[in-house]
Amino acid sequence: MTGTLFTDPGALVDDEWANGDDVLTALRGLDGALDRVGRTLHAGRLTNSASDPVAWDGGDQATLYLLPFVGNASMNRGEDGRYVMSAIPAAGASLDVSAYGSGPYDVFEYDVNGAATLEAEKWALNNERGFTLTADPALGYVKTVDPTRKWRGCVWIISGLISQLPLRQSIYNAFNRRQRGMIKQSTAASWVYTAVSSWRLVPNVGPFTVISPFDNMPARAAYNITVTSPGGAPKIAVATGAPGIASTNVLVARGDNAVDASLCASGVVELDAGLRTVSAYEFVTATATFVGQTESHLTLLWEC
Amino acid sequence: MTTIHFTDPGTLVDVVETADAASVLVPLRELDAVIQQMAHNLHAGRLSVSSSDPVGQSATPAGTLYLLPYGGNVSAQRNASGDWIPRQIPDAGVSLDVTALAINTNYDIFEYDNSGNIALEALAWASNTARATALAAADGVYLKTGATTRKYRGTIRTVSDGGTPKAIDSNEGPAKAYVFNAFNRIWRKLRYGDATASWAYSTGSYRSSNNNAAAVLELVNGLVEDAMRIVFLNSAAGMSGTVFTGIGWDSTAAAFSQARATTGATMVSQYTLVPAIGYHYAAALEYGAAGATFYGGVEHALSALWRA
Repeated sequence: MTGTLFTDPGALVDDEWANGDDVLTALRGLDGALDRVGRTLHAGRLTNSASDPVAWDGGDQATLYLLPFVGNASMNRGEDGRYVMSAIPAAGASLDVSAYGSGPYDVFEYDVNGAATLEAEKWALNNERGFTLTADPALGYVKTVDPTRKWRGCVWIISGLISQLPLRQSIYNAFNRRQRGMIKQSTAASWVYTAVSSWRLVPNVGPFTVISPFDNMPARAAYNITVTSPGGAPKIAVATGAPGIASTNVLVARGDNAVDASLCASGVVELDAGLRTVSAYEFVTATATFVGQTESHLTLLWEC
Repeated sequence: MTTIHFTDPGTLVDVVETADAASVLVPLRELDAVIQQMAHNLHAGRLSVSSSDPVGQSATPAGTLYLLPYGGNVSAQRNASGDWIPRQIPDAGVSLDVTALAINTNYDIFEYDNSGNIALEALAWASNTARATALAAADGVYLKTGATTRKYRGTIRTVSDGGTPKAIDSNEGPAKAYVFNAFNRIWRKLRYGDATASWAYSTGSYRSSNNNAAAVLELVNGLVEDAMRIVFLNSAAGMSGTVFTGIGWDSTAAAFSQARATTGATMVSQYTLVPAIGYHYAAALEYGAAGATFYGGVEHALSALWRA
């Protein structure tokens, strides 16, 4: 790094620089420094809020934004294959998705005359891309067939809308992720489950849905609940899956016959690519009463 | 913003070798613009109570707060014209004496350019949960409203050390996460455990676990960006009724998550939330019943994961 040149931009345009070997030395130094520094610069976050880059409860919106966050400079690759530095506009780069069909999309950023610009491409299936991403030494991932498109993340569009809701986070950021805390507490004081030896989705508790960019993405999940007067050994579970597809129990806790107890199933789960659910399930071998409100929480820590 | 191709050093050099002096200014100005753009993103470093460890924590309060190199040593400062000027964080860090601040008070820490050197200053909050001076965002970075040469670096909360204001960032004994970083946050574990072997509590109302006001995890939060997860694990036995353990948020009288037992058991309550700005605490709570004995040691842990 050339040091002093970075400390006073005004010095660069003084006439004293416009001669001889000093200029070439300065340019070589600057050029090399920019090349190295620029590869680490990917400011900004995708959000469905026009003004809040870390919004997590912005509702259902028809516009996706790339807003400045921890700076506004973002590295891209130009048409000639060389890197360019783009600015994220103060009002953000926006993408109207109102006419987009429902499903998962990758969101790509590219440079247009120095400004960051967005485009989206739909996956072939709900859990699979119809195209591939390629690792780029400076940009993270790019679209394999077009390395000018830097992968910014994923969104799930439903009827032309993108959700950031307490129970559904439909945006995944490739850069500058934050921890989302999703929690659902049953509003019911209690409920009775009378079916025997059968798992069911806990009523009024979740499920959470998030979009996962790849297979085996980790998240921290837990479900706790109090069960009273169980006629047999009750069980609870945290399950993962996809909408419309049977979930798989991945964390299970059990109680004992005729013993009132608070159960907690807690641990790290893995989410595969696509729209993924995290749910709470319950199981009884005879009638049992489950206690809700402050004694029933499904929680998920998800970085997105 | 002028687009510059800067991955091929030869390109610019070729231009200069054949150009006159005036033409040289063109690429120089363009490079200058690129540097300006890049500088918006340069925010290396972390606030720390350690003079040498940017992620260091200690149960001993410190009279000096440091901005230490971390993830690089370049941090851009915004000048009065709105330009961002990269400055180097010295190897020894930038220090701020906190012993003249008020006790038990939240302070925003701002970073600014002082004649070419990075300096820190502290600004008191109006209350435990409200700033006196709001933050203003520009170029994706938070600044001090009314003084936009001041870049927001984080928030601390002071404690009293024998009557002297000090800073503290401690994960246990006490669990006080009182240094919040605006940039380059990392995971912090907060933990409180009661080493007492066991104790009796037969009253059917909530109180602090083992009636100890220190059974809390305390933090100060400067930005509503990350979630935290809190878990309380505790065992009880011998009860002839129902006992509860729970987690209170800014309260030792009510639980926002609780677990129960009517016979000997280990209870686990858990919660996830994004804290509001300011000072907050999570409390370990217990609710007794006749004959109930609660257990400490490894059967007692209030813990949290938090990014700061």
